Amino acid sequence: MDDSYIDSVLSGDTESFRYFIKTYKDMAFNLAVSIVKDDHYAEEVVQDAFMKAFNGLASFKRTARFKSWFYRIVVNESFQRLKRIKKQHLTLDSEEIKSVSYEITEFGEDYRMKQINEALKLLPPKESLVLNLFYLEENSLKEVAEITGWTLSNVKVLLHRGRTGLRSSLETSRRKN
Amino acid sequence: MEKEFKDDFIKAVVAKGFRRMPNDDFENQLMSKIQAANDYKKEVSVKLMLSLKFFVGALVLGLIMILSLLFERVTFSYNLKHMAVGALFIIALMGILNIENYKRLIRKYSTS
Repeated sequence: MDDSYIDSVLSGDTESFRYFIKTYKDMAFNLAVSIVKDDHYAEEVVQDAFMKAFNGLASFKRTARFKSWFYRIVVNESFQRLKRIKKQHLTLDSEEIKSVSYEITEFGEDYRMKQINEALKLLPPKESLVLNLFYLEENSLKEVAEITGWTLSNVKVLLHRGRTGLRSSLETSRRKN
Repeated sequence: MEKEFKDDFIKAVVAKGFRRMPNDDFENQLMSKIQAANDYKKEVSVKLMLSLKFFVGALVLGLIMILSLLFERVTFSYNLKHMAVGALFIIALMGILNIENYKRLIRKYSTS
């Protein structure tokens, strides 16, 4: 499916690129937000990643899946952005994130959802990313390693830490209330 | 192959925390940005092609002049013959080298 749209875009039909935006924007946003921890920055990252994918589509080798190739762009863009944010000292510390997420989820969202969002936001970017790729996208460990560019053993360690971290932070917030 | 352990609880939590793109108009905004970038590329590509044509024309003219001077068919610049031949030879050489740059630029700005 992706291949035919790639051919269309490469033959000059720019409008065909809409298919990729429609299909991958949500997952890309989810990955970006798991790294940069901010909706506004995540949206910018996704936009930049799509622009890069469009400009580099001709160089995309069909040996890999488009999805993996594109997610790798999103991951790289997100970490670059995170570096810039840290440099500008704009990152919120854990306490600030906590208070912001309370504000966001104060209206309408159920309490459980609030706890989950909070726990995911508090996870370190790498662990959060690996959890998303492994559980949401049903990627194998090998595919996660390919997308992130990390070693298989590193991915396993991050996944284990992510699971433990998520469980314990949910447990803590449950005990608090 | 090693069996990959999937924790159902974590899977449910991660699925619940899935964040969708909040901007409903994201798709249209991005498409118009891509379209604008594409149009710009096309415009640059057309201008580069025109410039290349002009450049090749000038190069051919330069080579013709070199040959004319070498065979002494141009009389008005006879005294400067040797200097002119040298200068034109360098210009022609630079021109040939620059064609590669044009190719690179056109490849960069061509959309397909």
